[in-house]
Amino acid sequence: MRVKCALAGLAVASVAMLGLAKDVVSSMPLSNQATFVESYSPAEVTIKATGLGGKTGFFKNDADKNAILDMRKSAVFFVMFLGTDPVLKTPEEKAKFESIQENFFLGENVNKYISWEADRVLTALQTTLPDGKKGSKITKMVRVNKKLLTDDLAAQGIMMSQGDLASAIGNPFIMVIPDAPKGQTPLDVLDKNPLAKHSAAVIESYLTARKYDVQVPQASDQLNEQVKMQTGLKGVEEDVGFQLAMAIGSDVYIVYAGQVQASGMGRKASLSCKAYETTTARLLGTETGYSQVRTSPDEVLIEEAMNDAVDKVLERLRAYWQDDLKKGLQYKLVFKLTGDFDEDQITDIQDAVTDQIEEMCGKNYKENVVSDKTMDYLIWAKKDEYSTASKIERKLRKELPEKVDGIKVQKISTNRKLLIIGIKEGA
Amino acid sequence: MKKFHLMILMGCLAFGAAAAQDNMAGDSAAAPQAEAVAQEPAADQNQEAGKYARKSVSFVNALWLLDASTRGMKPEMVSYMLNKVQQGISMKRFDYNALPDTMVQSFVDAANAKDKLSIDDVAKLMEEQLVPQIMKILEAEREMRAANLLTDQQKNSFITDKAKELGVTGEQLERIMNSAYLYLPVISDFSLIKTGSGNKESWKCMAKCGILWYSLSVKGDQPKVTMRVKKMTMTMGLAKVKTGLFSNYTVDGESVTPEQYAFRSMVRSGVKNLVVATQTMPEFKLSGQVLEVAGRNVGFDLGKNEGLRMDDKYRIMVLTEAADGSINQEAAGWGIVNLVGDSSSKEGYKSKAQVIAGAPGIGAVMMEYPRLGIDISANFRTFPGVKDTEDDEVFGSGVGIQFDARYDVGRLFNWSQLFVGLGYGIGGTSTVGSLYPSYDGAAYANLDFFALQRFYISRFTVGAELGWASQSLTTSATVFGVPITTSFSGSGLFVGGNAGIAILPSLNLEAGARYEMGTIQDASGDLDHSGLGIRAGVTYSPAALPIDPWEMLRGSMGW
Repeated sequence: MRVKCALAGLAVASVAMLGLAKDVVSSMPLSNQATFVESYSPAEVTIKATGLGGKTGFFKNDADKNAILDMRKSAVFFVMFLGTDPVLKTPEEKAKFESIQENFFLGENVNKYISWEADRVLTALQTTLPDGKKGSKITKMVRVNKKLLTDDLAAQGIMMSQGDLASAIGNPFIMVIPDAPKGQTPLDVLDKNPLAKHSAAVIESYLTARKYDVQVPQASDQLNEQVKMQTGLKGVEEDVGFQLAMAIGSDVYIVYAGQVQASGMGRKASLSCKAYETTTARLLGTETGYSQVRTSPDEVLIEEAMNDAVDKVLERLRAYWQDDLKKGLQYKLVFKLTGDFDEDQITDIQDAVTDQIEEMCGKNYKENVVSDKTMDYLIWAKKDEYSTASKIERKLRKELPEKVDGIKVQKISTNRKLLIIGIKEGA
Repeated sequence: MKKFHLMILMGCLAFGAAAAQDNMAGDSAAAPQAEAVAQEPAADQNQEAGKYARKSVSFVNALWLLDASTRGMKPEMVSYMLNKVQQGISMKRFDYNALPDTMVQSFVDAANAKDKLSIDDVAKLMEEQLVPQIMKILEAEREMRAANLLTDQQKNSFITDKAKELGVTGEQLERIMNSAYLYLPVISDFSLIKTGSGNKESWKCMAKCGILWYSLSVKGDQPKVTMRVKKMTMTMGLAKVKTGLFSNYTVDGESVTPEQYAFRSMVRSGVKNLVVATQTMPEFKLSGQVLEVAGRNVGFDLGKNEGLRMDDKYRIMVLTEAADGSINQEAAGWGIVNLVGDSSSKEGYKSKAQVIAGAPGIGAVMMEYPRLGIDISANFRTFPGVKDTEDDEVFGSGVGIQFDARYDVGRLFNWSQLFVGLGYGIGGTSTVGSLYPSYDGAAYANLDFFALQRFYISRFTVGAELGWASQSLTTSATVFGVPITTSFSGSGLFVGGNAGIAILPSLNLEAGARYEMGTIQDASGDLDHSGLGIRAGVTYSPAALPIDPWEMLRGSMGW
C-alpha cells in the first residue's frame, strides 16, 4: 500500500515537472532578423533589428517590452553569427558557444552589449507569433559594442582574442598604402594627395584600436634609408637579400583606392580596400565602401566610405588567420636548381622535393610550377612544428640531401613567408 | 504687423463659375486639366513610424476673385481677408518661404493682364514669377530644414557624433526641395446685404472662402508648380444695425460699422474652417509615434515646435501584419493631449496624451484629428416650473431642446477640458397652475453662459458646470375674447453636472442635471423659476461651422 502511494506520488510529481518543463522557454532570440547599417567606430556597429514578443500573462501588457528585448537579442545574434563577417567564424567557436548560449541570452544579459538604442521605432506591427499567438513586432536601430562582445567571448574561451591570434600566427606587421598609378610610388601618392593620407589614417585608426601591429610607410622608408647609409659608411657589403626584404616591407599590405564624385545634390565617396600577404601574394580580404550623397567635406565622405569597408576587411583577415591556425601557416617555397644537373637528376630532385614537402606538411601543399630550373610551392606548415621560416629551411637543408645523392641545399633568401632555396651539386 | 499691399486677381467669370462648382463638398482634387501631381521622392526605408516631415509654404498675398459676385468687395475687405488667411495658415508645423511684395505684385500684374485665367495658367505664372525666389530660399535653407528629417540613428551616427556634421543626405535635401507649397486665397459667391426693417434691421454677409494649394517639384533643373487641392468653405456673418452713440462694434481692437462687422465675422469663421481643412490634408497632418506607455497615458514625439496644443485629439493608428505578409493600417483608438512637451523639458521632447479608446503599444502612430475646438451640444431638456411668492404653481415644468456651443478655452492656459459656452434653450409647458386658469400655457426660453470642466475616465466623461441664465417666459391668455401675449424675463445662476460616453473622437452622448436658481419678474413681483432640470443629448466636435456661434450671438444682439 505504502509502495503504491509512493509510486502514485512520484507519478504526480513527474507529471507536474513535465508541466513545468513545458513552460520553460528558450532564451534564444525569436526573430533573428537584422541588417547591418554602419560601422560606427572600431568598437561598435549599428544594426537595424526586429524583435517579436508576446504577452507573458493574460492581464499583462508587456508584448512591446518583450519585442524590444528580442530585438536587442537579435541584434547581438546577428553580430555574432550572421552577416558576411560574424564574430564567431569557425564551427568550433560556434559549437563552444552553443554550450553557453541559453545563459548568454537569458533575461536582459544582452543589454550590456547595446551601447545605444533609438528612441523611436522604425515599424511596430501587430502580428502572429511563431507559436500562433498574437504579439508585437518592433524594428529599431541599435548599436552593438562588438569589442566588448568579442572580449567577453574570448575571456570565456569561446574564441581567441585578437592579441592571442596575432601572436599565434607570428605577430604579422600590417602596412597601409594607397594604390599607386603607374609612374608613382605609394609614398608619392601619400605625399601629394591629402585624401589618400586621410584614408590611411582611418584604416590605421581601426588597426590600432584593435591592437594590430602597424608599420607606417613613411617611417619604414626612412628607417631603410638610415640602415643603408649606416652600412655604407661602415663599408659593409651590400646585402641584396636584405634589400629585397626591406623593399617588400610588411607582412600584410592593406591597399586602398577610391574617388569622390559629384552626385545629385552633393558628393559621394566610393572606395575599395584589400588586404594581402606580401610574400605569398595571397588575398586575405577585399571590400568596397560607399558614403551617402552629402554636402559634407570630402574627408568626411572618405571616412564614412572607409568605415563601411575596413571593418569587413579586417574581419576577413581574422578569418584567414584562424584558418591558418588549423591548417598551418602559409609559406611560399621556391627551389632554384643552380647546379648542372642532367635530366634524370632533375627528375630525382623534383620527386625528392615533393616527398620532403609531403613529409613535412602532409597534404597541405600546392604545387605551382615545376620546371627544370625552378620549383614553386605553397605549403601550410604547422606552427607547433615550424615556428619560423628558418626552421623550415633548416629541415629542408638537413633532410633533402638524404633523399637524393650528390646535392647540397642552401638558403638563398628567407623573408617572412618567402623561402628561396638553392639546390646545387655537392657531397 | 506687416503692411500688405492690396492685390486683386480678376479671374475670368466663365472659369470662376466652373471652379466654384468643382468643389461644393469642400475638398477637391486637382482640376482635370492640371497635370498629374508630381510625386515626392520615395521615403527613406529607415524612416521612423509616424514621423512628420515639415513642409515649407509660401503665401501668395493676392486674392483670386473667382466670380462676378466678388467684384463688389472693397479693397479694405480684400486686405482684411488676406491678413486673416495668412495669420490662420501661419502654423508652427510649416517652414515659411517669404515672398517679397514686389514679386507678388509682378505676379498679380501678369495675371490681371490675361484675358482668361485658369488654375493651370496661375500655376504657370507662379513658375515664372515666384518659383525662382522660392528656389533661392530652399537652396539657402535646405540643409537646416533637412536636419528635421533626420532619424534617431542619423542624429547619432558617426557623421554627427565624430565628424560633427549635420548628417543630412542628398535624398533628404531632395525631399526638402520637393516639399514646398504655395497657397493662394480665393473667394466666390459673395453677398453682403441688409435685411429686415426697423429695429430688426441687420447686415448679412455670406461667401465661399477658400485656398488653392499648389506644390513645387524639382525634376532635373526644371521646377514645376502643380495644383494639389482646393479647399472651400461656406460661411456667413451677421450684424444687427444699431443706432445711437454705440452703433459700432469692436473687433480686432478696432471700432467697425455693422456692415464691416458682418464681413469680418464671416471671414473669421471662414478662416477657422480653412485652418482645420488645411490640417486635415494628408501632406500637412501632424503625426508622431508613441514612445512610452504608462497606464492610460502615452508619451509621443510632438510638441510646441509643431504647434501641438492642449486638448488636441489624435487617432491611434496601428499596423497589422496579415498571414500573407501584407500590412494594413487601421485606427485603433484615440486620445486627447494633456501635456505639451517642449525641447527644454526634462523628460525630453515628449508630449502626453490620455488614451480614451484603444490600447496603443510602443511605436503606434498618433495621427492628428483636427477639430475647431468648439463643441456643439444638442439636448432634450426639462425646464423648471414657475411658482409665485406663495409657492403656488403658476406654470409647470416644461420640456424642450437646448443647443450649446462650448469653446475650449482651457487650451490657452494649458488647462485640459475647460470650456466656456453659450447655450440657447426653448421649450414650453401646457401645465397651468390653478390660480391662473386663463393662461394657455407658457413658452420658456433660456440664454445661458457657463463654464464647464470635463473629465475623461477612459471613454466615460464627467462634467461640472457653473453658469448664468437669462430666462424668459411667454404666455398667452384670452381675456374677454381678446388674445393677450405677455412676456416676462429674469435671470439666475445655475450649477449642474453631466456624465457621458465618448462614442467617437467627435461625438459624445451625455446626460445631465442642472439646478437653476432663477427668478422672473412680473407685475406682482418675483416669480420663482428655480428647480432641477435634466437633459440628455449629443455633443459633436465639428471640423467646420458656417458661422461662429459667439459671433452670431454678438451680431444678433448688437453687442
